[in-house]
Amino acid sequence: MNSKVKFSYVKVLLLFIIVLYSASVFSQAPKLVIGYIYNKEEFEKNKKKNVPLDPSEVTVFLFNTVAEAQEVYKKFKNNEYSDDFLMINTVSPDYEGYYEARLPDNGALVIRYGLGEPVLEKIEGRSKIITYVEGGITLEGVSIIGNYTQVTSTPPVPEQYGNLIFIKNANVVLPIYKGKTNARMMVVPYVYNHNTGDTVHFRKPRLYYGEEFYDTQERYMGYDQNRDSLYKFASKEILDNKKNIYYWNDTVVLPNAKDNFQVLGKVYLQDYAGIYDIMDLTLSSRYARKPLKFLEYSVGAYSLDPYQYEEKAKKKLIVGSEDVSFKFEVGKSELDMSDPVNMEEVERLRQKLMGLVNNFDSKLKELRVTSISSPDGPYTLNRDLSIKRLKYAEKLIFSMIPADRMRMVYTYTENPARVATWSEFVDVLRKELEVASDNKALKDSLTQAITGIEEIIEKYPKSHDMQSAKISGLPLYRSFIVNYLPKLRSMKCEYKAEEFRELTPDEIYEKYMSDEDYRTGKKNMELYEYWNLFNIVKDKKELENLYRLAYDYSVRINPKKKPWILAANNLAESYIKRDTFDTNILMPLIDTKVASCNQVRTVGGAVEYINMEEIVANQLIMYVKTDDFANASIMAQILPKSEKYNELVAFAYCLGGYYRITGNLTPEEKVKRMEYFNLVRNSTPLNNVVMCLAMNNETYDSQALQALDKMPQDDAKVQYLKAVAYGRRGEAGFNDAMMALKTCFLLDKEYIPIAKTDGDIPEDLYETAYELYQLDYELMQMNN
Amino acid sequence: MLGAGLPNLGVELVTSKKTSLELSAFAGYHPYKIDFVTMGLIPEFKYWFSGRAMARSYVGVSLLANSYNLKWKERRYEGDALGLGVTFGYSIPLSPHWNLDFSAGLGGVYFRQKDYDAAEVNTSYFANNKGIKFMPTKLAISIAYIIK
Repeated sequence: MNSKVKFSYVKVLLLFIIVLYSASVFSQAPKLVIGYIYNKEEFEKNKKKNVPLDPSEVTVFLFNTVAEAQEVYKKFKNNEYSDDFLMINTVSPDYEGYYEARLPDNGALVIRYGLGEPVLEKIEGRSKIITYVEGGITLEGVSIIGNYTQVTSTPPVPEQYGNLIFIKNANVVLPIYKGKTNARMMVVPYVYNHNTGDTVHFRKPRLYYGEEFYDTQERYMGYDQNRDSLYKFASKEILDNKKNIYYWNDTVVLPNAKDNFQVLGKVYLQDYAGIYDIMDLTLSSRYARKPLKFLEYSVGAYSLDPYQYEEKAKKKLIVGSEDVSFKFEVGKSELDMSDPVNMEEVERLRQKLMGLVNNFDSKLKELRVTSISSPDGPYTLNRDLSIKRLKYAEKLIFSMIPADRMRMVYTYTENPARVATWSEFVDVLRKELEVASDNKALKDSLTQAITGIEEIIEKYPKSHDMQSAKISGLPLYRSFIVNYLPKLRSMKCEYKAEEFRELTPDEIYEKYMSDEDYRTGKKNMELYEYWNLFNIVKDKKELENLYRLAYDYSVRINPKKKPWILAANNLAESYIKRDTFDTNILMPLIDTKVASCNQVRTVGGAVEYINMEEIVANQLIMYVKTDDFANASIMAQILPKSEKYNELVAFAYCLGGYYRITGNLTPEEKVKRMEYFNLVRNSTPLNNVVMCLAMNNETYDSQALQALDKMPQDDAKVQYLKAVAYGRRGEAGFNDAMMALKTCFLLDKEYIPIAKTDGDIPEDLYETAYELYQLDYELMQMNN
Repeated sequence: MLGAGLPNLGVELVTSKKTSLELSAFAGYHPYKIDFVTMGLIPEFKYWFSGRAMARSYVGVSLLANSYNLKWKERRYEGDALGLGVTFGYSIPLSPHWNLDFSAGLGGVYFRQKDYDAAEVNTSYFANNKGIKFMPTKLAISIAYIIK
């Protein structure tokens, strides 16, 4: 072979390798793969008909390499289980068996229906894969071939976690001839409380339009879909006379976790002429599964550091005024200081003002003197005299205060001296009239005087002097009216002082103990005083009362009506310790719009604490204990991710049902849920059993039974849980379940009503076990 | 009518949930080279059994007002007719804006005409033939467009 030929072979080989490499590189890029999964048995028996399986039981495990897929496939075949399975990416098909995935050409799928035989599908370049999987047991609710004459629904047993109920794959099965293209169907679910017999609330309705109905609705003049309040509930599924199954998933928040709720519904079929059929629906079975009802958990409350939230004594502003009863002689602006009345008044005022000035805890801030003179006589003369008298009084009063203190006092007032108007005098007379109830003569005189003066005011509205002149000419003036004029004359000394006085702890306690009103809440103490009392008082009941008083008082004085954080948390803590719960206590201190903890804001000098972690943690405890898991999960999201709260959050999530790993979770969420599941599972032997049974699959049920065998067999709870686990095996486990349940009833008959309303205990199992229990019980009684 | 070479157009107004009023007009000039000129109006009041106007089956009462001039087998017929008929129909909604309508009607028609030899020229104002005949008043497949 010559070198030229050899070289061309080499080129071809190189090219081939490059293409192969490119192909392998490209084949590792993920691409869209679609697939259909059908029931193998239906296909083989039923004239090659493709029948989808119940999608909730089908899992499609996705692998980027065939080797990975083969390893897991082998484990499935050997019924081995690993927690790692939960970390594998999965998808589920829809009700027509359709699914999509993004996988490379050298990837693979493992498809499993329940715990049946797995199927391995290698992608190998395919973009559409049709797989037939063994269907196993006939599923409830899937009736493609059927002639129902009534609307039926096959109610699944829902799972209830506290006040949340999860309904999966409830379906509405319509008789085929009921649906029409010129009709629409409205399904209105509602929640019914079996304990009270009330309809609790309605769920969102769902509308299914027939094609013709939809088209002819659109034609109506003035009809606008966007303004049709029902249209937003329209489903994409069409109503016709062929399709007859409509599926339902829902999460319902219940008013409480204690009562027995069921989701029912009504179906309305309406054509052009009106509603032609109304039917009843059952969307969930009467009794829900409450898988975590036996979960053991104890929670301790979280305390705040009292020194971090200490309240300090605050300055108070005292405002007061004193009437000044100086006796001036007629027409004079100076006082006769030899007059005992004046001497006494001066001394009284001096004592009062010096009391304010000399008090170590108070500081005089403002002082002013004002005067009003009566309206009789010429206005200008009266006003001038009033001003002179005021200035004299001011000088006298201000001189009572040492000059160095007076320098710091604000004395300005805009209109210190004025003459009262005749209208004000009329008001004085009217007040006298009101109190002159039985004295007819007095009333007549007052009325006459009022009428006379008002007429004059009306006649001379702008001239005070004219009014004075005319009024002085009234018949009753000298004998009657002048007697009331002094009531208008006044001189006042007004002051403002700041008081700052902090009591010692002993004084505070003395104050608290000496007056019943402080203990009953009729009188309030200052917040700093309550803070001290929290540290002094030891009796728990009294302390809780103090916390409540401080809480209520702090809410009243806070402009935003928020409580003092320390009082609120202490009160909540006290409640939690005695197993009492009130979620309203801490609510004002939590803002769910702020997604994190420990926010401190300073607003106008005041400090605002938002979502302090201890507060949020205590609130979470309250929500868990009141079975409000919807809100508990919100608190759990706000809490910081730390060891301190890990167990609390784990329990909160698990109790709310958030331990399940589903296909729509991110990898981080899956890891987190796994952690919470394991943390709670490993907390006690009983919790291990409860969490295993909560998973509701064969593998975990077996683990639960193994654990139960190691627990004391004379415990009614153990026997009850055994009954649940055996009961899930159907016919194969019925006898074992029945014996375990009967034993449970004999050990503790309190479990009888629990078993009766437990969705995990089938009715026939309960009835058989109960009958056996009654026989055994009677025998025991006879032997005794 | 289109098939008979008579172009026609109608408008229909929904008057209530189950009723509607239609007014059609037609005209023809020597259709298929027949010596025939005509024009007419057909108002019709319909009652819709389905409960929604312009959908599914209906019954209607229609009037016919027609003027014609026809030459047929050496005779000319020139006159007016007034009829009253009952119509049955079925409307198929094809989409929000389109309907396919099938209808047929029977009724009595009063006619008044001049009936004379086609070769003559008749200038008389008076009709020499009148009567009532029972006959189809409507036979149609229509396409309707819903204006909204």
